[in-house]
Amino acid sequence: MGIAAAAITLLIYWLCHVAWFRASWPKSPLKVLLRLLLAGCVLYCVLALWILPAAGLSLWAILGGSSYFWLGLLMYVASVLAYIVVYSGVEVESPSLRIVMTIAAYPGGAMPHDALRDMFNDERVILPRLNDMISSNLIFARDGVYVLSPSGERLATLFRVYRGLLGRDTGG
Amino acid sequence: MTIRESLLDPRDLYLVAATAISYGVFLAGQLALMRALKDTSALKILLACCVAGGALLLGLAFARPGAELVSAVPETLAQTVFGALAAEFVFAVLCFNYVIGFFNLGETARRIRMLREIQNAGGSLTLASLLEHYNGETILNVRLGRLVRSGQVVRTEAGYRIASPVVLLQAKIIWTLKRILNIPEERI
Repeated sequence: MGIAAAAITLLIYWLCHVAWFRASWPKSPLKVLLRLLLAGCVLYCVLALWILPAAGLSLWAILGGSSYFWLGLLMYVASVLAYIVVYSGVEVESPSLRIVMTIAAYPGGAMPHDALRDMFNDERVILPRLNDMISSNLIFARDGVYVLSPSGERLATLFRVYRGLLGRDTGG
Repeated sequence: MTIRESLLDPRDLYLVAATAISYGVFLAGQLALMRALKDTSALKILLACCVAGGALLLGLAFARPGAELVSAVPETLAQTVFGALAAEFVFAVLCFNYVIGFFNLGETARRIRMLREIQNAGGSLTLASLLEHYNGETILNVRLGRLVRSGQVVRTEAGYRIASPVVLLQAKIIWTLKRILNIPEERI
């Protein structure tokens, strides 16, 4: 039952997400997606514990042989988080994907480096991200200087420690 | 099956525990190997650890030590396979979340890189100083280098060409999702 409930809840989650975002674009898409995730958890519990058992899905019961309540819940939450990860790449496109799309669409085959350089100027790839960081309260601008906020400091420290543990460079 | 039985189903709890153990092994394994094999590609290490964790989970799902003690009803082979596949799916999604949602964030995200640049400068930085260390040209060169090393793009004398359709397919999926969601602006 849990697996069937997870699949149904995921489908409903995605349909709600599409309907909501097409109707009106939210100010903070991530918050909306996380709220939908929580609402989906409630729906999942209702489906897995009451509605599907009452509907008597005997095929699932025979094949599954178990309630799979917790595994189904984990499946639902992990899948939605994976979707949110993919969604963040949809909202703000990765430079690597943009490079690939640009090269693929370039007339005449091979794309010269200079043509790519024109596209990847600071105004397009740096300044919008700095503005995003200001609106997410990770940094603030004061007299032409960018200053880390406490949450920005925590995030930077988390990744400094994490990358240090992995023994990797700064990335980016 | 009552609600109490659903919540305390030993087969279900066992598979969740097996998934958690395998995921823990994946996380610890990739951490240890990244530190030990600094010259090896991170992608190869993550893939190897994911396969090892998945194999461990498969073993645990089929071995079910003490299954006869925790469940009064014997499990059929089809039920064991079904449970193992469901657990493997959850494990794979969790690995995806870690690699793309966390590891990759530290590896490629511009926001994290810029936060670290500001932190390294003592907590504040002018735009001009930031752009000295990290700018559009740096991003382009780093990304192109990665795409060429991973074989997605090939560099010829005339310029860059697509060499493998994998990232292109990924880009097309994202483009399709953009159209479905009616995303208002093109942003890099």
